[in-house]
Amino acid sequence: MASSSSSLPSPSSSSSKKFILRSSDGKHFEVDEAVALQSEMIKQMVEDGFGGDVIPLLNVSSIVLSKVIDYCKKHVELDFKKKMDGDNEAHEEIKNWDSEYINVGVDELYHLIMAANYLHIKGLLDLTCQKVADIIKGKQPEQIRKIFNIENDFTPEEEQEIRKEHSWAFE
Amino acid sequence: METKRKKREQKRTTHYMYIPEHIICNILSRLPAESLHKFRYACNQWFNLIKHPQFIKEHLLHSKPCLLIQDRIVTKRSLFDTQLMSIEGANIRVRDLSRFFTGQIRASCNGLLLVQNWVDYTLLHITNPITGQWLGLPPCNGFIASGCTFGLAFVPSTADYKVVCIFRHWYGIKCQILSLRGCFNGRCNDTWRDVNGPLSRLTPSTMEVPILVNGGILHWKTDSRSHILSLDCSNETFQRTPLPKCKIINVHLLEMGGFLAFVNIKHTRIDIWVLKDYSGKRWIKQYYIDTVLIRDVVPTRFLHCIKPLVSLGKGEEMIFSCSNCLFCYNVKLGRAMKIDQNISQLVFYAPHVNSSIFWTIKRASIDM
Repeated sequence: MASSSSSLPSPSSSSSKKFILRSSDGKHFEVDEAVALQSEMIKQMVEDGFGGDVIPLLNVSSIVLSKVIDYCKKHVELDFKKKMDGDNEAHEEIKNWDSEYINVGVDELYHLIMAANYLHIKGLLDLTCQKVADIIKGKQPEQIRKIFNIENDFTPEEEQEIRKEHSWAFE
Repeated sequence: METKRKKREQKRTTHYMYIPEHIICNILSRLPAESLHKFRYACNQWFNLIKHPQFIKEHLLHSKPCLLIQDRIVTKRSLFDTQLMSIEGANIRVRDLSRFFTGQIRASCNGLLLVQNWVDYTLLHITNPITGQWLGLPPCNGFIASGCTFGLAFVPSTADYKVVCIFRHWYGIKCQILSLRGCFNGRCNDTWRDVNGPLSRLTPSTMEVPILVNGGILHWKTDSRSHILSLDCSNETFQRTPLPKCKIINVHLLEMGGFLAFVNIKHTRIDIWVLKDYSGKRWIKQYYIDTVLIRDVVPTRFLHCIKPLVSLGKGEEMIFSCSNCLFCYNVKLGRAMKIDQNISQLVFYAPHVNSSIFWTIKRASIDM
């Protein structure tokens, strides 16, 4: 049972405690305790003595939430595997699974970032931020301004100054 | 059709403006230093963020160290051949930096390099090859001495960079330190200070670059087989650090995951010890490499001439030299791989990260 917290969380065990998550559009998702606790935000709520059956997640839509749950489920499973089979193989599998998982469009990526931030899932936040970094690293400042909707608030003289000051050494 | 796509694009681009600053920070800290350097003038907010000491620290944590080597070859323009090697799984990327460095690199720390002019060797400067900025240093007595060794260290407690020079003097070995705290207008106003030490019975090897580890501590190989010389750059005190008690033929030191590692090469295996506790002088045997595993790249008769250069990825990979070739050993896979790069006479090798540390001309001190 869930009370025996010392035992390893088995991903397939049906006996563990369940949580119900409610998305912003009112859909319910039933997940295992270990899966829900991947979120630091939910963990904190539980530690603070949140007693309700349904956890409302006001900032996450059902489409995004199901994708986030996929992530948490897989990581609980792989963490479990890591403990059982040793480090190496599981590490490789996590890497492959993650790179497949994060292969999404920029819109979806944005929603995943915001959800990971809201739910405090560090692994997912790191993964999504890394993906954005990979997407933008080869771009030009003008393209970056467009993506992040940044206004260039330097005067032409200032920009010239900065460019001159930090002349590009490696190209 | 055209307007539809435009609309879609409009929608796509405006999403990211709502991302909170700490996430922007997280994303930017994962970018290569070259990209950061380009993006710094996206807007004022990014400019200030990218040069913030906390951000630079964060970015350094994500940067993957590479191996920087300088080989002595004589060409018309320079005496040195400079290469930066990064290892990603089975891929080894070599970048030729020779045209950026006509001088000899003497030390590397957090992406900053200490370079000595090859014509007038009393001229020293600190440079970040990514930002292209450089800082001239005042001359030190040691430059005219026959043998000298340089260290460059970041002292976290005072957020200061220090250049250390140990040189032979007519009455023995001397040490001078220069702090880079008061650097203005690309010039360093501080002067070299004499410090007590180093310890008389230990002569540091002037042929090799000291090993820099976490906390701003430098370690030199000495002419002794039982002790090395260590300098804590924060309080500028020397220490004799004993090596592990075992049979030692050659002393090889390197940095591994922020700690000092001692590599003891024997006929059948290579032991790797790590100095886990500096003040307690406590070594732990981290792992060993069976020499059978490297036999593919190093024939047994050449085993005595292998030399570890650096460890990358927290000790996951180790790069060795063996007469005039290089090879990489992956600890996890237990496999050695030859690096397609010939060397003749290595004058410098150290782990190096690309960083965006820079000092602005107006702000006048090294950020971080």
